[in-house]
Amino acid sequence: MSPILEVKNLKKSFKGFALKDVSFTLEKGYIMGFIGPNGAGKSTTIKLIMNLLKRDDGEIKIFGLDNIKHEKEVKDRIGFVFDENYFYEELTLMEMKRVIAPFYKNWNDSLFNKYIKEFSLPPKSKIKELSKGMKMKFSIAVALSHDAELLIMDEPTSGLDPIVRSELLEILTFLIQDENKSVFFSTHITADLDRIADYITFINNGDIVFSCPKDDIFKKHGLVKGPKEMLNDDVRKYFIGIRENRFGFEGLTENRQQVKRMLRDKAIIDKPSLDDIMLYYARGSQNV
Amino acid sequence: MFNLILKDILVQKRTLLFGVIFMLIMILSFQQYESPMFIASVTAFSYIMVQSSCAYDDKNKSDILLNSLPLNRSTIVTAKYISIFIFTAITIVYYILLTAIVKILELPLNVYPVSLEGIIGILFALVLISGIYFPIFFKVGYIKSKIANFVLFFVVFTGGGILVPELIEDKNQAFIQGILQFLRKQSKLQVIVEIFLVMILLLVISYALSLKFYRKREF
Repeated sequence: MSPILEVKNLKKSFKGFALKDVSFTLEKGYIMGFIGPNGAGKSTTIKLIMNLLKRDDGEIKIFGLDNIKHEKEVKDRIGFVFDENYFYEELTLMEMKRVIAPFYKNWNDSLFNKYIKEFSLPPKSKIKELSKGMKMKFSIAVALSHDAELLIMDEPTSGLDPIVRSELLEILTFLIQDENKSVFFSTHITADLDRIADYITFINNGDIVFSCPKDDIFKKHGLVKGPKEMLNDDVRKYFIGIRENRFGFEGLTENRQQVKRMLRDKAIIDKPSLDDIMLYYARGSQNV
Repeated sequence: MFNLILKDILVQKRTLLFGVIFMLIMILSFQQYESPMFIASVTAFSYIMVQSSCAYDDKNKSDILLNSLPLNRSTIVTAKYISIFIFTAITIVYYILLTAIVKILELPLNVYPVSLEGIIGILFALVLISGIYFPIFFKVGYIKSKIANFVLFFVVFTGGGILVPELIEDKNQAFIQGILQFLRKQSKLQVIVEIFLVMILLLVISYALSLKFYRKREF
């Protein structure tokens, strides 16, 4: 069984920024969170997957098919949600649906109407009259109404209030109960992923830092707090980043067990949040 | 594909309303001339619709939406070319309705009927300007293509204004005489067929360029 999304050695350079050798794999039935600071290459990667940008090198396979050679077939099975509204603002929801629906082989009108009702969207309103949260919900309704097997979402939660965000996450959790569906979800609001993601792929400055099950990340990484005296060179090399002040230090390690053995009970090792992880990797050995 | 053309019409509801006023103004301003009323008003408003559909696409960053849907880029390009003819048809219907109303109400206005020559002239003019405009639009997008569009308009109107009288005066010139001779020898049908062949050639070249440019675009 081929994975639902497979990116291999993907490369793309622009003036002043390059995506270097990006690889990761998403298996069927899982939610993958795609995290990284602003400008790390998240949207670029997603645009390359959607063939909105042309890759310089590498391979992208969706449902085991090349994303350019089988572009139409692949896109028929993808639901996409973008960070901004890309619908025609002058059209009403129903008019927009009328334009989009015929492109999909498996468009399901009654399912779409069900979502419109469920999300309490006004079908006769123009898209420009909707709030940001409603536009996002409309986008999701469209993405879910053609039996897509893979949902690609670029920062769907950015700019949404906590209530709408929470609703969105509930929808995704519900959706993924169908084991044939997968979600690829980019965000810099990592709290969302703590709740729903199975895998985390972390990109920083065009490089993949890691791509693995969420639980593994928390097993391996530790947020260590302790007195400054303990920081000798032997210990330091196990840290991804360290923040020091007059009273002590706090640092992120990728080798929790080893650091625990070295420092014993002189230091406290906490579970880091994804924010901590992102911050320490992004800033590295500089002062965090 | 036809839902893309439907989209181009739906987003232009306001332009369509504006069209009634625009066509009335055209009819009023072409009172003293005979034939240009029909050709000028229909050509102008059809091209306004072509332009405005491109502007709405750009305003809504539709390239991202459309290219994320399961369709080929050629569908997007083809739809734009077909829309030229749909817009022309809509505008001709406008013209027929408005002139009919003028006649029925017996308003003190001169109106001139739709003619086959007129329709051919309109189609030729629209294919020519859109044929030059679309490859630029598909290569650089709407905002940058506006400059090219301005130049195009400038050249067509002032160029036309300077060249046409010159040509008419220099009737003795061998070149013009040659063309006139060539046309005079043929039947009306032959001339029409030739015009259509030139139009098709223009469309094919323009379409091939647009498609080549659009396939390479990144969004």
